[in-house]
Amino acid sequence: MRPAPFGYQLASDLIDASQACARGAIPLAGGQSLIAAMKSRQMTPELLVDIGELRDLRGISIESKRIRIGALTRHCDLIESELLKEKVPWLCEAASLIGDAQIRNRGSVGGNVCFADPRANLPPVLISLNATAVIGSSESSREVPIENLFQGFRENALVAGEILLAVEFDVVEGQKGSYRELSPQLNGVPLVNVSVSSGNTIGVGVGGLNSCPLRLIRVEEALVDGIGPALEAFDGEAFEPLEDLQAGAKYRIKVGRVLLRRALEEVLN
Amino acid sequence: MQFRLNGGDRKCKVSPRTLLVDVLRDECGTTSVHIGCDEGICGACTIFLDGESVKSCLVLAVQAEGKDVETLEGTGSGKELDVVQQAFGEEFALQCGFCTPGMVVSARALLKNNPNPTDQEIRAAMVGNLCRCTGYQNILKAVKKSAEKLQSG
Repeated sequence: MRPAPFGYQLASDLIDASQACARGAIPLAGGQSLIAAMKSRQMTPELLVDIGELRDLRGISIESKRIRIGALTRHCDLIESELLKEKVPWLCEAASLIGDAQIRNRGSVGGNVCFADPRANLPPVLISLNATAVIGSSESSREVPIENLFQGFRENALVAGEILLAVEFDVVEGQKGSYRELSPQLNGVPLVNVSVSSGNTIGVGVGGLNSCPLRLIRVEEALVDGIGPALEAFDGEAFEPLEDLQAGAKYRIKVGRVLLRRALEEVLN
Repeated sequence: MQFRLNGGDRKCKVSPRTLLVDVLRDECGTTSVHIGCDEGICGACTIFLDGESVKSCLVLAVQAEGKDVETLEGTGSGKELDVVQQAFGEEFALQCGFCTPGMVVSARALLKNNPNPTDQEIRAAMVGNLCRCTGYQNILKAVKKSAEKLQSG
């Protein structure tokens, strides 16, 4: 199918893009999720604002032990980044398992996050890294914990006029982490994914177990007593996973528990 | 919109919802770009956009404004096969041939960045291209043969 008719505007700068968003436009970055959703008519936006030429939103940098990844940075850029490979290789692994080479050449970090699909690869890792979403508009800017960006199935917390500019997180000496997913086919959309990152505190993010990616706060708290209590805390969570032909809710929760245990063992032992 | 296609300048009138794959096939006649699944899965529409492999069914035509597009038609003399295409023929890496243009683009994209890939690297790089005929074994062989030939010059 072809997308329903829509208006298109190429943003010349952030203010331009923000003003279009304030009028209800949806930002178009790599379009690897958005265009597919528009072709299947799951989404029928009236106006797209193409932010693809906003070069300032692209790139990976580090300043006083805080890494900043611009929203337009592509998955292939994450995989090839020497900085990320050294500091947070599990983020590179999660990126390398997105789609295929062609998709990774266009798909962006900001798109992956803002599309807010519960099974997206990057959100659990960014949650576990205690990442911050840097959000801007023509009038103001704000920063929120990345998990607060996820409001429901493919719903993000950006309000009219706002655009995700970057994600930022601190890196700590000797930091370890793990990304685990179960996918019905190589590089497919995972049924469930889990990421654990150590640091000043241990972060645990999961996807596929609810309508949006989650931080497992109770699991994180229980970790002071060890992996066993953390898994018990997991069992006590009231997940509401998607159910489809590939897997039911019970199965996804079971898989989530196994992936969590493996990730915790990898990071803590 | 204006863009470069296989080294030449192109001008087309498109609506925002026109996909790049449709412009390439219907307006420009570069019909090596195939529409298979039309959902961004099968890779039959794979092209080079500014030197990187992308699926043209997941790109709006307007997103290619000012960019450099290369399809299978743009390589070699137009009459003779290049190394990768030849290897696909020699190794029987195609049967119906529908997936082949996308396969060749993905193989070239891989070999550009990684001239001597392992079997595992070839499989990983070709995940985004589906073939319903060959079972992939001969495609793997063809990519390996291409790598060897390109390296030996």
